[in-house]
Amino acid sequence: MNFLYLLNYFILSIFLTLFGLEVGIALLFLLPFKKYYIILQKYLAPIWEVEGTFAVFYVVNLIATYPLAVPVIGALYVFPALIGGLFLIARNAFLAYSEYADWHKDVHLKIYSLATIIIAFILTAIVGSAISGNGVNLKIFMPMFMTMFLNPFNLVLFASIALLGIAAASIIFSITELKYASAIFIAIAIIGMLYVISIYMHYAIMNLLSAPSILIAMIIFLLVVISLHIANNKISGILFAAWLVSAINLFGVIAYPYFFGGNINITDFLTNSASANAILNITIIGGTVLTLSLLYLIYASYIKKENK
Amino acid sequence: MALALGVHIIFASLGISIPLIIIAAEIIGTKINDPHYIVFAKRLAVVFIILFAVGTASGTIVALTLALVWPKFMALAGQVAISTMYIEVFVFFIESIFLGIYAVSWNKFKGKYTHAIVGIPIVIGAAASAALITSLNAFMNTPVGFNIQNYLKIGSVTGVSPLAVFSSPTTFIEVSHVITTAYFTGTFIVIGFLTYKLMHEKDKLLKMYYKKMVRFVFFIAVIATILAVYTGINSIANLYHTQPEKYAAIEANFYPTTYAPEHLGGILVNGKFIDYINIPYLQSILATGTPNGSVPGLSDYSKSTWPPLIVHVMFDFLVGTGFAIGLFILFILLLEFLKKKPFENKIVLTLTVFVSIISIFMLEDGWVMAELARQPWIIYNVLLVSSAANYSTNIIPAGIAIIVFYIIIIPFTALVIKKIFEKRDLVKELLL
Repeated sequence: MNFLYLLNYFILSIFLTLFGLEVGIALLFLLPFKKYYIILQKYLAPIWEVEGTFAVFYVVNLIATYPLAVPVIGALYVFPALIGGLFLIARNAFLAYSEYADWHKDVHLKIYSLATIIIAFILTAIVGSAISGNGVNLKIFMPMFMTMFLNPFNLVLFASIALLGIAAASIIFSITELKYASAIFIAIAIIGMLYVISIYMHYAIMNLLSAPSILIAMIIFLLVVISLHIANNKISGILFAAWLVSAINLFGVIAYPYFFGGNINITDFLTNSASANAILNITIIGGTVLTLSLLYLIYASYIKKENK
Repeated sequence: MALALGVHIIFASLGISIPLIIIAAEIIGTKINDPHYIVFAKRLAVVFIILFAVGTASGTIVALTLALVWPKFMALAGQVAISTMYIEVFVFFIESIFLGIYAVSWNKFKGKYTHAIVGIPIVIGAAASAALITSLNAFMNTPVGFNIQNYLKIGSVTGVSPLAVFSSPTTFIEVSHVITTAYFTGTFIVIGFLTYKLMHEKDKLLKMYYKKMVRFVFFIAVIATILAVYTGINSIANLYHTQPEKYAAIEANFYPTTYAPEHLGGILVNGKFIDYINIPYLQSILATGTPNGSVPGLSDYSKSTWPPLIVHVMFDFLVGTGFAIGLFILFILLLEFLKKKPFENKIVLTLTVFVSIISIFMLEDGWVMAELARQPWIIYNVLLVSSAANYSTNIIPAGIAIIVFYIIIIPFTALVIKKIFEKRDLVKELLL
C-alpha cells in the first residue's frame, strides 16, 4: 500500500473527526441543552482553529499527493466546494458574532449551527461522491448535482455523521441526558454506514471481511469506549476520538486503491517519485518540529505557572 | 481570484509586518523600561491575532480558488513546485503555535527578554511563509525543476527536481522585494492609524503615547522603504535578463535600443504611447550599468504574447509615488535632525495618513502589474492562462460567493477590533 495514500487519509481522518465533533456541537446548539452551551462554546474555538488548519493541510497535501487529479476535482466539485465556502463565511462570521457581540447571542449561535450543518451536508456529498461515484458521470467528468446531493448513500452517510457527531460531543463533554442515547446513536450510525457501503462499495466490505481480526479489534475497542463512557470515565472522550480516527483510516485501507465506487484507481494520479520523496522528507522534518513546538505550547500554556 | 488575492495581500502584508513591530516594541520597552512600548505591543498583539484568524480564512479561499479555478496550473505546479506550499503549511502551523504561546505567556518567564524571544519565531514564520509562497510565484515567472522541452513536446512532466523551485533565477530577488514591500506597506498602515489617532486625540498622555509610537514605527518604515527601493530596482534589472518581454512592456520599449532613455508617463493611443517624458540614457544605466547598454523591445516577440501595455502606466504610478514618498521621508528625517518635531505639525500628520493610504495602492498596483505583465502566460513560456483555466459555468455563482465573502469579512473584522478596544481603557493600561 502506498505510504502517501495513507498519509493523505490520516490527515483527512483528523480533519473529519474534528469536523464531526463540531457538527455534533452545532446540533446540540439546536437542541434543548442550554445548560451545556457555555462549556460547548469554550471548547469550540480551539477545535475550530485546529480543524481549520487541518483543512488547509489536507487540501495542500491532496494537491501534492495527487496533482493529476486536480483538473478532475476542479471539473466535478468546483460548484459545491465554493458554495460550501459561502456557508463557511456565514459559519465563521456568526460564531465570531456569538463570541463578541452582546446582542442576540442565541440567534447568532443557531445561525452558526445551521451553517455548519449545511457545510457538513455539502462536504458529505463531495466526499461521498468521490468514494462511491454517485452524482458524477465519469465518462465525460460531469457532475449531476441532484444525484450527488440526494442519493441514499449520501443521505445515510450524512445522518450517520450527524449521529456520531452528537455521540462524540455528548461523550467528550459528559452530557448526562444523552449518556445511553449516544451508545444507540453510534450503533445506528455504524449499521447505516456499513449497509450503504455494502451496496455501493461492495468490494470494500469484502476487503473488510477478509481481515476479521481487525474488524473484531475495532468492535472490542468501541465496546470498551462505550463501557468507559457509561461508567463516567473521562478518558472515554479521547478514546472515542481515537476510535473515529482509526475507523476512518480503516475505511481508507479497505477502499484502497479505488475511488468513485471502484471505478478509478487513485494510484494513476499519484505524483512522481522525486516529489513523493520530497513530501515524505518535509512531512518527517516538519512533523518533528511541529510536535516539539506543540509540546512547548502545552508546557507554556498549561504547565508553567504565572510569575508573581 | 483577483479579488481574493488583492484582499489577501493586504492581510498578508499586515501579518508579516505587525509581528516585527510587536517584538521590536517589546524589546525596546523592556530595555528602556518604558511601559508605553509594552502596552503598544500588547494591544497590537490582539489586533494581530484577529487579523491572523481572518487572514487564515482568506488564505484558505485563495488556496482553494487556485486549485479549482486553475486546475491545469495546479496539476503542473503540484508535480514540480508543491514543496513551497507544503513547507508553508508547516511554517504556518509553527507560527500559529508560537502565537498561541506568545499570547498566553506575558507573565510566565523569569528572563527579561524571554517572552520577546518566544515571539521571534512568529516574525520569522510570517516572513518565511511569504518567502515560500512567493517562491511559487517565482516559479510561474521563471519555471525550473523539470524538463520543459519534454513537457512542451509531449505534455508529460519528467526530470522533476522538487527543490529547484527555491533557486530559480527570480526566487531570491522576488522574495526579497515582496518581504521588504510588505514591511513597507504594513508599517505605513500602522503609522497611518496611529497618526489619525494622534490628530484626533485631546488627552495629553494619549497624545504623548501616540506620538512616541508613530516615531517608533516610522523608524522601522524608513529601513523598510530603503530596502524596498533597493530590491525593487534589482527586480526590474532582473526582468531584463529573465523576462525581457515583461521588461519591454513595463518600460514601454517597442524596439530594442541602445542608449535607452527612461520613459515617464505618456498616453496610450492605438497601442502606442505618446507624449511621454524621456530621461536620456537612464534606462540603459539602470538595466545594464552603462549608458550604451542595449535593452529589449516588444518587436522582438510575437504580438500574440505581448503583455497588456497598461503595465507601463502602472509602473510609472509605482515609481512616481515611490519617489514622492521617498522625498517625504527625507523631509521628515531632516525635520527630526533639526529638532523641529515633525509629528507635531498638522500638515505632516495629514500627509502621513495620505502616504499610508497610498502605500496600499502601491502594494496592489505592484502585484497587479507583476501579474498582468506575465500575460498571456500563467507559467512563463510553458502554460497559457487560457489553457490553465477551468471553463465550468458553475464557477460564476461560486465567484459571486467569494466576492460576498470579502464584502462581509472586511467591515466585520474592523467592527470586531473596534468593539474590543472600546471596552479597554488605554489610559488605565498606560498608568498601570
